Order: sequence, then C-alpha cells, then structure tokens
Amino acid sequence: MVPVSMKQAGRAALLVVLTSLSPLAARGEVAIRPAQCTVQGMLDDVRQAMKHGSPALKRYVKMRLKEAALAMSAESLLAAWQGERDPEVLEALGAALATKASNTGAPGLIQPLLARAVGDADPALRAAAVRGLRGVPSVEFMEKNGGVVTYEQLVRDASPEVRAAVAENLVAESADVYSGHDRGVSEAAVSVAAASEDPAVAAKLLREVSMEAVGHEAVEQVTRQLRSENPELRAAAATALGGVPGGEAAGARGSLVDLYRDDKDPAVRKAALQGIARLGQSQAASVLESLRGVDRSMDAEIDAWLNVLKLNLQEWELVLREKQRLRR
Amino acid sequence: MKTMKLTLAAAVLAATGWGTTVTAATAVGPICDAAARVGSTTYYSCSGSSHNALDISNGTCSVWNHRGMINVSRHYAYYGGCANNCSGGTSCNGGAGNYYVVSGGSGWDFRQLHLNSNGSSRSQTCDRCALGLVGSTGNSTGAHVHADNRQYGTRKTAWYTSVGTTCGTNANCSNRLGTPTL
Repeated sequence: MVPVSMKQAGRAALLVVLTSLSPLAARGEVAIRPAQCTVQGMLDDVRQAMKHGSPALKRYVKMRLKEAALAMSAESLLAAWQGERDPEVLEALGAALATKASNTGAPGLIQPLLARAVGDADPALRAAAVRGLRGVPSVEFMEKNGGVVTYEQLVRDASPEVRAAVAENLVAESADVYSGHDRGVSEAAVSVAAASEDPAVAAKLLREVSMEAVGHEAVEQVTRQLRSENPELRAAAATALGGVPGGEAAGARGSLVDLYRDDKDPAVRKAALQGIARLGQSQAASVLESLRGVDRSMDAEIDAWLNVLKLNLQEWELVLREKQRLRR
Repeated sequence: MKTMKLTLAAAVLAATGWGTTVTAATAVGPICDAAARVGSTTYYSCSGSSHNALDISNGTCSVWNHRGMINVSRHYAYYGGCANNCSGGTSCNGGAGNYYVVSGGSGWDFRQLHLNSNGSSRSQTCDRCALGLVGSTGNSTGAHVHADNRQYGTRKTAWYTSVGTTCGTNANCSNRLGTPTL
C-alpha cells in the first residue's frame, strides 16, 4: 500500500506538471487553483459576487454558503459574524446561521442576529441582520430565545430599511414557511402592524399576510385599523378582514359594510367590496346588491364582483383573477 | 413574454391579498446515507400495481434518521401513535403509520410516511431536520420512507418524473428527488 503522504506528494507533482504544460500557463494567464473550503473563503466569494457578479451568481454563492454552513462548525460561523461589516455579506451569513438553526433545532444560533438587529449602530447592518432571518421560523425562534427581541420592537426602529425588512420577513414567513396556515405568525403580523408607527409597513403586513387562522383578538385588532387616518392602512385592513376564518366572518362582514357606507376614499371602498366578496363568495351577492347606490361611481365595481360570483368558482384565487380580468 | 405576463400577474395578485400562491419546492432524499435508493415510483418496484409516490430505503430499520425532505424551512405536522415496527402490515393511521404532512396552498400537501418515532418526532418547523427513524409503521412491507405530493388527496407524479427520478435513483439527502408543489 502506498502511504497517504506519498500519494498526496504524487498528486501535487502531477498538478505542477499539468499546470506548467497548460495553455494558460504558456500564455502567462492565471490558472485555476483548487480553493480551500473555509468560512472566510466562502465569504470572500460572496463579497466578490455581490460587488461584481450577475444576479444568478449572487444567488448561487449565497445558496452555497447556506448549504455549506450545515456542515461547518457554529463557532466558525459565529466568529465570522461578529467581525463582518458589509451588509450584503452579513445578510448572507445571517441566512446561513438561521438555516443551520432550523436544520439542527438550535434556535439559540440566531441570538447574535437578534443582538445585531437591535444593537448595531449602523442601520444598514441592523436591516441586514433582520433580513438574515427571512425564510426560517423566526417568530417561533424569537419566542424560544425568551422574547427578548421581537418584531414588535424591531418595527419601531428609526430606520425605514429595518422596518421594511420586518414586514418582508413576516410576509415571507407566513407564505413560504407555512403557506398561510400558521396562526402564530399571522397574529404576530397583526400585532406588529398595530405597534408600527409606519403606516406603509402596517398596510403591507395586513394586505399580504394570510388571516386564515387568526383568532378573535387579532380580528378585533385589524378592525380597529379601519379607523386609521391613513387610507392605505384602512384599505389594507379591509383586505385582511376579507380573509378571516369562517367563525369571524359575520362580524367582519358587518364592519366592512359600515366601512363601505362611511368611508369616502375610493380605494378603501374598493377594498371593502373585495373583502365582502371574499368573506361570502357566492352568498355575498345580496350584501353587494344592498350597497348599490351608496356611491354611484363604485357601482361598476359592484357589478364586476356580482358577475364574477355568478361563475361559482371554487377557489378565492380564481375568483380574484377573474375579477381582475374584468375590472382592475 | 408569457413568463413576464405570469410574473406580473403573480405580483398583482400578491399585492391585492393573494398571499398563499402555490410554488414548486425542492425535495431531497430523506436518508443521509449513500446507500439510500428509490425502490418504487409510479408503480411498485417500477413494474407492479399503481403507487404514484416514491418509496426510499437504505436496507436498514430504526437506525438512520428519517429527515424532512423539503430543502427550506417548512412546517411538518406530525401524526403519530403507532408502535415502532420493522415489518409493517398494520392499519395504524389508515395504513400511513407515523407520518408527517407539509400543507401547501390550494389543497396541495407533501407527506412522509411509515417512520418509527423517537425523541425528534413531533410537529415542528424546520429545514431538513430529523423527524424520526426510518421504519415500517402502518401498511408497509419493510422499512422505508414513502413520500407523496397530493392535491385534494389525489397523488400526483409529475413532481418526481419531471426530474427523472426512477427506481434505483440514489436517494442520499444531498440529491434532489423532485419538485413537489406546495
């Protein structure tokens, strides 16, 4: 048997010979060299790709880091995390740590992300730390870390970039991790919207997070947002009420009818009609009919909903698509 | 052009409150062992009666982890209560044995069946985590992982046929076996 060291020496010698014979070497160009797979080496690749790479390369290096992190030691990743100051690299590293936490059932691994999300002086780095939590069960992880840092706290950040990252995380978590079915994430989104002083962020949360599993208290929180001074937020709350569970439908429908009658903003009224249509689907026709004439300019919108509901489509996605085909 | 239209349509629907669009996920092998192989696909052993799912085994029972197959964080709902078994042949949980369900949108789900339970077996949200042990609970004829992708209870096959998975395909956890809809 040939000793391992001799084998390695042989391979190295062969590599030298092949390199010297290669056309690249003959032309004086840099030959491809085998790279050592370390955290720092991979982070350098991420750094280079973020500066000069195509979108596909950027996705690739981030994905590669995330996959490699599953096999790397947590200590090496955490050491790199502490010293990193580039927001894009920090986000990629955070995503790798969060994925490792999700894979190993170790929510404590995200504590450095939470600490940075609240404590870093640079708002770009705080936002990057928040974005690093996207696509993992971050609401559950925050609870398991003692609730010391929550999205309700992060959404009050002075930086709009951090607040936007909070909304994007919750929207993505509800849709991508739970397909909209998780009560905890949906109710967290409602609470964060209530805690937010940024109406655009609150509106995004209510408009885009699924409400299919929320409880009564969350429905009441959403209903209170119908009295917001901001029309975008009122419209988003109306959209959210359209998606509440069946047991909450009667109360929500009443709130939306009142909203349609009292609110003068066309976008809010349009959202109220959509909410009513979604809550009742085929049974919504009589309610919509009763609202004809409240605002003549909206009667065409009511007609469009009535025409769609007559089709008896079985899924809300199909109903909404057909409505948008008839009238945006 | 068609792709651009579809992308725009999805963006419009998302912006107007369609938060549960279905997507193509990626499913990898459930056993981190190079010996893991696909044994059945659309037909049992690829030549028997209808099956419309993947059966994956590495020839062991209650030794290797049965891992979540979706390669991002997803919620795995656990349905247990069956005694661990290496030969199967019971009707526990309707023949599914101990099993997990990942629920998607529009009636889609992804299931992993027949595992033997251990301390990891509970409902959880995770990325390719250990869910239990490769076992043979329920209507099963030997330890394996049964994986299927259904819409409103009907098993679909395109998720694995579209990527060429067939009997003998290596089902190590680093290999993609399919793209289930969720």
